Formats: sequence, structure tokens, C-alpha cells
Amino acid sequence: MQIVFNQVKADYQLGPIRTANIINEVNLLIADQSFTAVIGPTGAGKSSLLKMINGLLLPSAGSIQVGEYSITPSCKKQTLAAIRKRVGMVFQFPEHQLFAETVEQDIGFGPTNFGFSREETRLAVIESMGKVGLDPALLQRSPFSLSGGQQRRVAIAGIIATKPDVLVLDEPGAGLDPEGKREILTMIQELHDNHKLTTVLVTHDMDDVVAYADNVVVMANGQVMCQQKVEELFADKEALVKWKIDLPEPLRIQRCIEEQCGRAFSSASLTLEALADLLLKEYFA
Amino acid sequence: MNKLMMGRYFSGDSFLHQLDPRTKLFATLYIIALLFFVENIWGFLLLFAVTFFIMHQTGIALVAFINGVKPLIWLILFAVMLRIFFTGGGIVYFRAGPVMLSSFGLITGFYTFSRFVLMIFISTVLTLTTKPIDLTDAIHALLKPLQIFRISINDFALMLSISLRFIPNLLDETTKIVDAQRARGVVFGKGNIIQQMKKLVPIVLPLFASSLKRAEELADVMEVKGYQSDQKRTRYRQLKWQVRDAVALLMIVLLTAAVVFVNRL
Repeated sequence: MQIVFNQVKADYQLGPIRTANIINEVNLLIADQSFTAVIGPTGAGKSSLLKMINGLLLPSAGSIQVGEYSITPSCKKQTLAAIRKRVGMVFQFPEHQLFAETVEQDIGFGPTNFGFSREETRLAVIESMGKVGLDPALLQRSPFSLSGGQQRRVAIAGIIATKPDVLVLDEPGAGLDPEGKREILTMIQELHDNHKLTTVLVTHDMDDVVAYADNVVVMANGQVMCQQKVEELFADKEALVKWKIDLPEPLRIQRCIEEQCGRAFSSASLTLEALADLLLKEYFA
Repeated sequence: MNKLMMGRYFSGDSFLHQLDPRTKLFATLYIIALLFFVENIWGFLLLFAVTFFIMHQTGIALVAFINGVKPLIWLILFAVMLRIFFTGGGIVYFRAGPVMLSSFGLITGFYTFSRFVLMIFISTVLTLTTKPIDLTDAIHALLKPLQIFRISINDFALMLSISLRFIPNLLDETTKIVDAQRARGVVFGKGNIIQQMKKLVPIVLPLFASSLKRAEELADVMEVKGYQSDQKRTRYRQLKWQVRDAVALLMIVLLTAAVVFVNRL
């Protein structure tokens, strides 16, 4: 599903205090079936942007078009329910939302809420456990007795069990060891490819951006600074400095080499293979 | 969820913000007690005037205080209605069995209403102008006499400050979990009371789980850092008695005198 932000503003209202706009004049187009990474410093409004796609944070002005649905400041509850069924949202540390007695009940919670029948729920639970790589033997275990990595898989399974068309994720790899993080993200990429999902991923790690995303959205102070193809952004030296964007590992190595030999190379390498090719080309061509 | 105004500290540098928390706590309790000694309408008018003056002095918008009353308004109205309809005396305008409407009832109803509202206003002044941690120190100081009975004040104060310390975290966490469950299709504020209660399970359970985990970790950390509750402790925040505290107490004495005088009118 295509997601369009149209002149969107939003703030968190706190009693009588109205905070400054946490999202300010955002215009954004996220294409159907694209994999978009959202980056930016802490407090830039990345998580709020995700919440808006799911209707958890309503705009104070403007509108958001999610597929055929439209989120406006005065949006009906039925529309929001329909949107939430189509948009799966994985929060930071999603395992904190686990509550049920068994893994089966927890994964089945979303489908039940969205009106799946008992049989459909059972099938959806088993199917999504397979997708996230959980052993079906865990079905009757308590989610609290599982390891951290498994808990996170259960939580993600609980979200994809409702068969969303859009998946929005807020740092799904946070707090995991590098191995666990790569497994989770690879799994998400497989879901994205196999089910034609539109995926929006918030991350701090530029290596993740390069490895998984096609598009990247840079945010700062509640505004979208730019939206580009991943390769275009990292090729644009000025933009990287201007928005204080960290470099992915291969590009950082390339910059070190460039500094040592005192000249800039023709292109920016985003993978180690590309860097090796580039070095061969620069020195032996 | 974020609309809990009671107990939220607003920073500022008014006379009331600068008062010693012990003075403020004592004065608050004293004024609340004083509310029960007021016997006529003049006394309430006087206390309304004083309370509004104090509220004005905090430099915080009136709406913050009104918000403190809002969650309790039904309870207050219920108590006031009981007073009005079940108190006899004076001119009786209307009577149906035990229920009646009398001039005396209307007046006591007004008294009850004023007592509740003023009580909330005054305690809101305390919580809006005092940091929770200062308030804990004040409670600790006022409880000190209990040490004679070998009650461990330090443990109590520690428990209090830890719970106050984690309220913002719990609120944050609640907001996050509520959002996460809403994203999974829970619709709050729909269905009958039993259904609504059931919807709290997916929120309360994760909160319990994380609170227990955090309590355990905190206890471990404190033990590792060598905390022992029965040791004599020095304090990082020293409370100092200052001229303005004496001024505040003097005003309290004057207020008492005024109330005693007005009661005779």
C-alpha cells in the first residue's frame, strides 16, 4: 500500500500544555512495496512518524493517506481500526507488550481483536510462527519463560499474524547481540520480499540502512530533510555532513583510505565487495 | 493517560517554590485542618480569598488547579448532594420522606463543597510547587518523632522516594504498552464494564512484569553498591530554615487569628 503524508503537523497534547509540533509540515510519499529506512538524531520525530502511519498519533493538521484510507485530525474509529489491521507496527522492545499465558494466546491476540474466527486465528498463529522461525513446540509455553531473542520473535509474530500489507518497525534490532539483530532483520527482509509488504524501518545503524533499505528518509526537528535512494544519499558528501549522518562501515574505511592517499575516489562504496572493486579500479585501471 | 495533573511539579521561582518543603507540608496540613474549624460563610469567603491569593502567588495558570478538581468532581457532588438533601433545619422548601431541601441543608452543602475544593486547591499548590523528592524529605522530617517508637523512618522515606522516582517511568511505559496494544487492535472505551476491564489485562500484566523485574534489579544494584538500611545516613539535599519560612509561619498564625475572629461574627 502506498503511504502519502500531506502537509502533516502533530504534537503531543499534555493537559493544558501544548508542546511544539513534534511533526511539522511533513510531505512524504512512501511507494507501494518499497523498503524505506527513516534516520535522524534522537528526538527528530522518527517514532512519531511511524505512529502516525498506524493512526496512534493523529495529525493536528493535514492528512495521511494509507492505501485507500485517509487519516485526518477528525478520523472515525472504524477507519482507524481498518488501518491498524492493514498496518502492523513493531515497537521498540516489542517483547514488553507480551502478556498472555501461552505463546499461542499472545500471537493470537491481534487476529482475535481484528475479528479472525477461532480457526483462522489458529492457522494464522502457526503460519506466523513459521515465518519468524519459531519452533511450533513453543506454542503452549509461557512467553515469559523464553529467551530475549525468542520473546522478540513471538512479539513480531503477534504483529504479522494479522497479515498486514504495511509493516512499520521502530528499531527492531535494539538490545540484541549482533547475531540476533542480523537474524531479525534478515527475517524482516524475507517477509518484505515474500509478502510484497511496504516496509518502513526506523534505525540508527547505517549498515542496516545499506543492507536492507532501498529508500531513505532523513528527519530532523520534526521535519523531513530529504528522501532519496540509499546510494544517492551516501554519494552526497555535503548532505552527509549537513545532516550529521554516520557512515556505513565500508564507506568509513574508504574515507580513511582517501584521506591517507590524499584524493577522493570516483564513487562511494556501500559494501565491502564494492570497496574492493573500487580500490582495484582506482589503482590498476 | 498524560492528563494526570495532580502531583506534577511545575518549575518556577515564586515565593512558594522557594519555601522549605517542611514549611509547605506543615502549612498545607494546617490549612486543611483549619477548614474544619470554619463555622460560617465569612470564614469560607476568607479562606477562598487566601487560597486564591496563594494560587495566584505560585504563578501557575488557574487551569492547572481546576484540573486537580476535575477527576474528583463526581465524588464531591455526591457528598454535597447527600448534605443538601438529608440535612433539615431552617426554612424547609420541600420534603419527600427522608429527602428534603432546606435553607440549612443548602448552606451545609455549600460548606462541604468549599471544604473539598479548597482542600484540593491547597494540596495542589503543594504538589505543583514542590519537587516530589523534596516532598519526601519533608515527610521524612515530619515523621522523625516516630523514631522514638523504633519505627524505621529511613526505610519508609526510601520506599517513598523510590516509588515517586518511578512514577514517570511507569507512565511512559504505560503509554507505550497502551499504544502497542492499540496497534494490535484493542479499542479502549468500547463495550460494557466487564469487557473494558478485560482490556486492561494486556496492559497491567506487562507493567507488573517489568516493574517486578526492575525492582529486583534495583535491589541487586543497591546491595552491590553496599546499601544498608540500618546505617546512619547523611543527606545530599540539606534543608535550611530561612527567613521566608518564618514569614510563612507568621502568616499562618495570622490566618488562624483571622479565622477565630471571623467565627465569632
